[in-house]
This record gives sequence, structure tokens and C-alpha cells, in this order.
Amino acid sequence: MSGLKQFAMAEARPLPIIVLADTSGSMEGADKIGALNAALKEMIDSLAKESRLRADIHVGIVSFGGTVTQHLPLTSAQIIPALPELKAHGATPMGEAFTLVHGWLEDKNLIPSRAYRPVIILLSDGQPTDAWEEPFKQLCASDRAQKATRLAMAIGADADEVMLKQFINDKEAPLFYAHNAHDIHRFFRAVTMSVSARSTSPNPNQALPIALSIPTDDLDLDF
Amino acid sequence: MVLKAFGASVIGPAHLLSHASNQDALSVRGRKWGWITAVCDGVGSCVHSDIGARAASKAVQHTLRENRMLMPHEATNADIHAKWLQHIKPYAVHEVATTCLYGQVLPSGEAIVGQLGDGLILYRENGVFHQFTPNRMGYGNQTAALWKQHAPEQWLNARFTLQKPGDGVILMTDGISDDLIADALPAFFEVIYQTALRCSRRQAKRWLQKELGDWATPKHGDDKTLAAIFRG
Repeated sequence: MSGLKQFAMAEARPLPIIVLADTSGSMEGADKIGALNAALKEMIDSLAKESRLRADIHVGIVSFGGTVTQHLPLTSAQIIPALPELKAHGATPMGEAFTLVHGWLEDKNLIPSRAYRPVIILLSDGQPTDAWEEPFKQLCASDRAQKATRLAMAIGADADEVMLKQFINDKEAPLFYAHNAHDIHRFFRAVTMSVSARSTSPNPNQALPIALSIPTDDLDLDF
Repeated sequence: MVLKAFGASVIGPAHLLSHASNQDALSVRGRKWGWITAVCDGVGSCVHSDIGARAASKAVQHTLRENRMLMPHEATNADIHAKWLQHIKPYAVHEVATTCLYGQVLPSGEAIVGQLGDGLILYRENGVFHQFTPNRMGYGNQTAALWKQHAPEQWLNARFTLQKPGDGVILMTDGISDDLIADALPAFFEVIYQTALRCSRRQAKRWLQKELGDWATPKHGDDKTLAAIFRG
């Protein structure tokens, strides 16, 4: 008698995490970019080591500083190679970055319909320098992209909080603030823990609260 | 005409690890007027979704055994929803929301199916395979479900006839359908039909339980439920 194994997918269901990282020139100050690089590396390492997952966590990084760059295409956390560090320079073309991510989210070959609800994480220390409103509107209105969970972190005092608050669509997660490098680490640890808990639960689609009160022995470094 | 029906439901590894109950419900019942089956998947975010799924399964059986396919789809769906609201008492709707897939086949071969929410219905009519459920548009587990108000527009229905041996209908929860290779659905249907043809109902159920328990997709975690009715 034939079995059903031959009809089942050989790949686990993906849980995409997309990081939209502001790498404009102002991120150079107070080593914000250094903190971001370290936090991203820590997040990827942690997710790659997690063995209890009910999903294959895929991480993608889009940077926007001067130009928009696909720093890391959506890749399983377990096979991500050592990444070149993000460099800070130029203006803040956030709208163009939204368009690129919108394309990822609508692409069923890249993110299949069996994927768990993606998470988009936006980090910015400034104000967009391009026409971001229309690309953002499209991101929020399209069939698939609007269903992704959107989180945001304001880095430093100059960030456009109104814009970043608009970006968020997760009731459990307010706008997070980074006053120093330590806060960026804490934010990424919290997101890592939330995604890890979500992807080990019986219902990996369900968003979980993100708590920033994580014990840490990091030094408090002001920007 | 000989109709053959069977089904199985297995608890997913994620619920086994968390000592939770199976949040799917299954019923496959045959009477003189044919077979009625229901496959329901409690919404994961609801604390008593297993109760909601079982209530929906009962509501389908109660509705369709009275109905005998005389009512239009809209009335059948509304009746299932009304009976479900009765069966879930004293729980609140937000504690027990569930998907609901049903099928009924009369001895004449006339068949109806209905679907609210995730999962997949396949059928073969006059030797021609059909994927009844459209492909999912969003991401996994974003589903319509039985809720406070009956939402006629969210139900999908079809009526067809099992004319030839091998014609039939298969219903399953998304714990299975989300992992199936799209191009392989006709062959998947055929393997299940061949099993029904060669085995007793009890043997087929055991085979299906084993197959669903040994599911091949890595890191799968969801409960898995499948029911089938075929013309022999």
C-alpha cells in the first residue's frame, strides 16, 4: 500500500523576519551602526541555535542609507553566512525600502502562502528623505503585505515618531525607543525571544507580547 | 451503489509537547440516506477551541441528517451555525471559534460540500479531479471561522454527483493541506481512494492514523484530520 509521505513538503513552514535598517549617515554617530550590527548578529545566532522551532525562521535585511540595498535576501537562519557589516552613509530613502519589502511580501515564490505571518522590523534614527507616504500606503493596503506584523524602533531623539507609530500594526507592541546602544540590543533580544516563543508554540501565527525588561549584563553606552 | 467512508484525526506534535488536547474534530457517520462527515479545526488563539470544533461537528451531523440535501446551501450553512451556537453553551464564541468543513453523499451519489475557513476539499466527479478549495491568498492560519454572526459570504459550497467508481470527496484540516505538494493532489486523492477500496473501514482508519502520525514535513506541529467518502 502506498503511503502519504511522498505528497508532503520536504521543507518546514517558513516564518519570515524582515529587518528594515536605517543606515543613513546619522547612524554613524555614537556607534549606533555598530550596536545595530552586533544586535543583528546576536539575533541571527540565537535563532540559528534554537532547536525547538515549529518553523524554519528566515531572516532578510534591507538597508536604506544613500541607496536601498538587499543586505541579506530571505535566508534560513541556520544557513546564514557571516554577513558584511552595515555601513552608515547618505540620506534616508525609506519609501524605496518599503517598495522593496512590499515586493518580497507579495511574491508567493519567495514567501509561500503556507508561511507563517511575517514580521517586519523597522529601525530608524531620522526622517525619510524620499516620498515614503505612497509606498507605505501600498504596503499597508495590499492583499498580503498588510497581514505582516510590523514593529518599529526609534533610534535617538531625531526619529520621526509620528511616522514610526503609523508603521506599527501590532497592538501588543508599542513604538520602542533606543536612547543608547544597549536599548538596540535589548530590543533585538526581545524580538528574538518573542519570535522563538511564537515559533515553538502550537500556534506560530499568533503574535506574542514583546517585553523589553530582559536582564542583561551589557554596559549602558550613551549615544 | 456502494459508498465507502472513513476518517482519522491525530493530535499534532506541538499539542503533544504542551499537553494540550486535539483541537480538530472529526465525525464520519453513515445512515440509510448515505454518509455525512465533518472536519473542524478549532482556532488556535481560542482557549476552548477543541470544544468549539466538536460542537461544529455535531451541528453538521444534526443539520444534515434532518436536511437530506433538500435545503439550499445558504439555509444549510445558517442552520449549522445556529446549532453550533446552541452546542457551545455555556462557552463564549471567542473561546471556541472553529473552522467547519462538511460533506454529505446520498446513496444516489448526489453530494454536497461546504467550507468555512482553512482546510481543503477535493472531489472527483465523473472521473475528473477537482480542487474545490481555492488556493490561500494570505499566509498560514489566517482563517474565517464560526463566530457570533452567521456570515453567508464566507462559506463556500458545491453540489455534484459521484457517478463512477472512484468518484469521491476528501476533506482535511490545514494541518495536512498546508504541507501538501500542490501538483500531487490528484495522486494524493488516488492513494486514499485505493486504500478505501482495499481495506475495511477500520483498517483504512488505522492506516490513515499511522500516515498522519508519521507526517514527513520537517517541524510540523499541527493536529491533522482527514475524512473521505468514495463511490466503490
